[in-house]
Amino acid sequence: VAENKIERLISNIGRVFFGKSDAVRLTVVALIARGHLLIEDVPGVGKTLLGIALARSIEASFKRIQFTNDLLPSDILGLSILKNGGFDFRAGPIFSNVVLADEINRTTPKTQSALLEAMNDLHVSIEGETRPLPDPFLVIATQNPVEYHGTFPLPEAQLDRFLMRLQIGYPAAEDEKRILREKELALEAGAVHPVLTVSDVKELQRRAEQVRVEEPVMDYVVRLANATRSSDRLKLGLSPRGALSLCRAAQAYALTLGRDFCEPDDVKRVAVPVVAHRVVVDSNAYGVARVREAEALVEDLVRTVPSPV
Amino acid sequence: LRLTRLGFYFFGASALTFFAASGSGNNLLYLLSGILLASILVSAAWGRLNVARLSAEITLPDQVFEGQAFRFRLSIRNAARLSSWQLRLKRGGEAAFVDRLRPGKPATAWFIATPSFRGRNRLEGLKVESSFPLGLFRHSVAIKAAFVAWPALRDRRDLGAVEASVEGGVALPRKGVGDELFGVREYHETDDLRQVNWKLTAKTGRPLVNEYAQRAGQRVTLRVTGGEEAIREAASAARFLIDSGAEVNLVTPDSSTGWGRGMLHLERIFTVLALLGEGAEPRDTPAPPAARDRGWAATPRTIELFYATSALVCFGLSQIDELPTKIILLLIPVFPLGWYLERRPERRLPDIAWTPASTAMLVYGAGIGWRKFGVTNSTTHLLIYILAHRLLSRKGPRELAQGFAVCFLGFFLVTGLTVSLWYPVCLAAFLALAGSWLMASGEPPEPGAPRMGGLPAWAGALAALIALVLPLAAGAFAVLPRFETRAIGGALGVAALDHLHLDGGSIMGFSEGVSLGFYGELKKGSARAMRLRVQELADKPLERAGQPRYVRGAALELFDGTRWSKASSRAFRFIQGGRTRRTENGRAWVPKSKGRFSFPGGDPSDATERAEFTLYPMPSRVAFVLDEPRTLETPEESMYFDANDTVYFVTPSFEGRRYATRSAHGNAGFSRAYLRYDQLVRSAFLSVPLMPPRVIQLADAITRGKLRPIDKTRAVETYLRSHYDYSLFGGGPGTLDKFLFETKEGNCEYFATAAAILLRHVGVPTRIVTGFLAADYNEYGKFYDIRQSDAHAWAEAYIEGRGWVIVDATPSSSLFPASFSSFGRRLDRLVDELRMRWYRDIVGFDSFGQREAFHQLAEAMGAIGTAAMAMLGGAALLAAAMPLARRLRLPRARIVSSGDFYRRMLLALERQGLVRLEWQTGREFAQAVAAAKPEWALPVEKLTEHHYLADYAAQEPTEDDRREIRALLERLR
Repeated sequence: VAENKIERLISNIGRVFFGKSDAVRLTVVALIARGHLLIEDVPGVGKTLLGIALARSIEASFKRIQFTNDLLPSDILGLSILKNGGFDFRAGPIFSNVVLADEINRTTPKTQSALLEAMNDLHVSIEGETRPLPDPFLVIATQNPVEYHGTFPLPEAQLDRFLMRLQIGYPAAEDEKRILREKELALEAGAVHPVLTVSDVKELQRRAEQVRVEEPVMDYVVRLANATRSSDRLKLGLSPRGALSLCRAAQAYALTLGRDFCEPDDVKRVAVPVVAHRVVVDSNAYGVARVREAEALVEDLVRTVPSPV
Repeated sequence: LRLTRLGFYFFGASALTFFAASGSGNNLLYLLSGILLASILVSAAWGRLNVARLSAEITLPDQVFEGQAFRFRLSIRNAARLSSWQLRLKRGGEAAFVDRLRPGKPATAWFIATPSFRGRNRLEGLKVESSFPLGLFRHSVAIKAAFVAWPALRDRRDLGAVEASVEGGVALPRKGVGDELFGVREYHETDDLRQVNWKLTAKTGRPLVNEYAQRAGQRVTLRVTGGEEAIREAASAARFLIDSGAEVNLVTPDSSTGWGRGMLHLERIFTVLALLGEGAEPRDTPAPPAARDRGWAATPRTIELFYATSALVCFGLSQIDELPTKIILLLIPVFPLGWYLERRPERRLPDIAWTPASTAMLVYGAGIGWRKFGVTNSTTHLLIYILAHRLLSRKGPRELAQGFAVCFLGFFLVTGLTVSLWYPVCLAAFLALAGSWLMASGEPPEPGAPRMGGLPAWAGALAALIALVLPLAAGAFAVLPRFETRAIGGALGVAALDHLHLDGGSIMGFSEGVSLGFYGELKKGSARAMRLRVQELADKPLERAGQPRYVRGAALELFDGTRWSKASSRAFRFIQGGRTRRTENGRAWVPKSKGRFSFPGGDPSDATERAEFTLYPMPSRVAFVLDEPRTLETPEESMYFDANDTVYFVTPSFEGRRYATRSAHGNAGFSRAYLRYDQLVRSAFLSVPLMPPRVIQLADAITRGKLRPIDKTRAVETYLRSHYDYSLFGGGPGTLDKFLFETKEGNCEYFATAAAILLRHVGVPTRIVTGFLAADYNEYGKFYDIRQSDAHAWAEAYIEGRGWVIVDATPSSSLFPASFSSFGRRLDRLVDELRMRWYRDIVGFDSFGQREAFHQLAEAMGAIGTAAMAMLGGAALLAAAMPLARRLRLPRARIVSSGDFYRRMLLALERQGLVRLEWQTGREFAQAVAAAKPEWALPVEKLTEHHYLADYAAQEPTEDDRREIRALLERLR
């Protein structure tokens, strides 16, 4: 049943987001692993489209925030206004199940922090009052690494809040032709209908947590984490939170393939998106090159660290 | 294309083999040198093809900084129609190995490089290299790559020492720099209110403002003229400025970038800086130093091959008749012992313990063995010792290379010293083993990668290689020029390779003294002794072309019971040209006129045949003749004959010789010319050594009732022929008595001796003659080919009135003892036929044979279609046999434990050369297997699935699953 639901979700997204089934699957993994997703790629490859498609596929509240440099924390969290002699709380867009934070690196660190804290704690404190965020809560942030004129790159330490960082990449020639052909298939045309309810998502999240992880797989995760820490090409290795995330993502990945147990292969497949943005490369490179370098390094590690069979 | 060290030695070995072959005329050595030559050619050509159609693509990172290591990807693609094998993608010491690159498939390797210079860099030393197939040549394809390295960056928060002009210098740091807080200070009235740090102001009660690290202008012009340090500073400053959002214009002596901001502009600035001054000229980024090429892989597989090849060489050595088998037997326990020590290396003798033994062996080899046992024997002893040493001690790359050299030398000796029918078998096995060894040595010596067992990926390539080499080798064998040198060097070569002791008699199978049991040894030699061309004189044709002929060498008259010799001088007088002549010291000198010597006792015009003798080097002065010689043409100045009618030159034929005789039919010798011959005969040809009485009784019994000497002669001849067996290799040294009454089998000299002595007992004067029985007639060259193995001995009996007649008591059907059944005979004839072909076409191939073969080839051009069909058939047969061979080699999986099916699968695959790399998960390994062996994809995938369920989902396999698992495992067998 779980598999069916997930497959339905994936194919639903695939109706507007062609070709990149890996990226779509990983997006779904983020959702059911209770994580958040950072999509980082050059402009125009469909980062936002992917976010919207996922959000619209779930029958849940969805808000899109376009981040600009004059955005204030209260624009996200909400604020109380004086009304009828009392304070009335106006909830910000963050009080939605799915939040699409577009171009998150265009806003000031202050505003970024407001979002990131909320992502981590699953509640926000506004004017001394703690307000829980809806459950499920998923932030899909996008950022563009090419141009950082007038941007505020997310500090590497903060990136840890995202379960995964995804690259989408350019579509294959066939898929690109299809994009050209079906350009009228806009989202407005209602191509994406909700296929999951909030309770479905919760159920999937619960099931993902119950995916069995045997001892050898855990050992493998620990070995990988240690390898990042001892690599001389990395300034900073994977934190224990990172290792935990790797395990959670692998469990969710297994579930998307309809399994209730986790294989070393699952760990391998999610290793790059989960680990690459959490490590700091010892390099002068910046921008996309730096991202690629980190990913290549993680790929190297999964190609050297002994795997269980 | 470069010759490797191994290739260098290989060339040396080929030259040595060819030298030995041409020196000795030994055709097996020619064959071996043909194979070596063909291997070199095929190796060079295939090696070239192997890398010829590889295309390379390099993927460099977008950003490369001076002095900072970066990773780049090299991927090669095989555009050829054949797989490429054993490729090494390397740069200096870094290398990746590709076992086999199928057509159209890519392979990828990652390298790390550190640009040493700013600006244009060339990547040095990047190449694809392969020593496939045999490691004789290293073919490499250099891959060129160039890139621009940006200047090294400093971690800067200000402009530093860069010459810069700030425009629109409103000291307003953008907020983007807000992270780089330099500190706080007291508020000054000129400060912007937005810089006030309100929190701190509130806490401390005094106005404080934030101070940022750099007050960057909005528009900054950087000026750089040159100098490495200045350029680095400028690059660092530019990065800082762009980071803080400023607009930057870089001005160099040649150009300016114009104003711009953002990352793309920063890249422009970096590129301009990189290419400034010296950076514009490409410079080489050196490759990391390469470790010395170890060449020989010491993997479990090569060690196994070492054992196998050694065993083969030992078997080959045991086929050498001259070599005592005891020595080889000594070597047998070394193999299991060596194998045991392979597993328990700590029990090995330390290397130092071997030193005294090795020294002793060397001293023995050079000093004692050489003289006592001959060159070959002592060399073989030394080889066997080295082999034993290497088998028992540690095997590193160097030791294995030595081991290979020893195996090759051993096989070289086998080639030079045997002509046995086992040799082709040995040769085939040696080619397969040595070829495998060389190919396996091309694999990377990774100690962690256990690639033992099973057919390696390149087994097919090896089969193809051998299939290519063999026809080429056959061609080389057929066309390699046969230098039938007559130099003394040739004789020495023969002595070294064909025989053991440098003892006069054994060199050419001819001796002036004969011991019993001597010929058996000679018979095994294949070396050519002489060539005899017989022309019948036109007016007296006899039509004897091609019939066996007795080539008379020396006659001997003294017998001491085991050995024949001749009296040093026996005086006599003879008539020549109407004048009575006298011997000088037993030598009757023959006068020479018009370039020819005329012998006494007959009219030169009676001669029926002219025989041309071409003698190969031999340390003997004897002039071989046919029948009754009348004249002899030779450039020599003088010659003589003795009382036994043996004709001598004055000098030995050390350098070979060429002469011609004219002779008449018959064997009377020169006896008619002697004065008082009866007296000579009685004193010389009737003496017998002391013999047991039964010999005399036997002589009497055989000749009972025969009165005429000729009848007695025939009776003895017939008796010996019918009651005794010829044995080529049996017999050995012995006595006449033993031969007559006990063994009843022996070589020709036993028969000749028996005939001579028995006849002497009954009063018939006899002598023994050594020479050759020319039977191998070459109808194309019109000559008899006479080899050491044709050496023969017979007797001559003096019959009053007829002179000397030949008594050849050796049974003519010498190969078939009477006791053989008809089936045995047929089998024997088959073997004989094979043997004959082997000896005639392979062992006895020479320059005449060569011409003859070409002649035949010309004739056979019409039949070439048939040959092509035959070859196709052979190829098809080979193709059919391959899977069978593979099946035969398939090992039985060891059962580790009943439930451990996955490990059993891994083990079975490992034996097929498919080894899981330690980073591969089960599924990744299954995919790799599917790529390598599509037919196993399904069972391996299913087994992996079962294994995953058992291990990661904790689902015990059901009874059905177990049955399926067993069936799947069976499919991998």
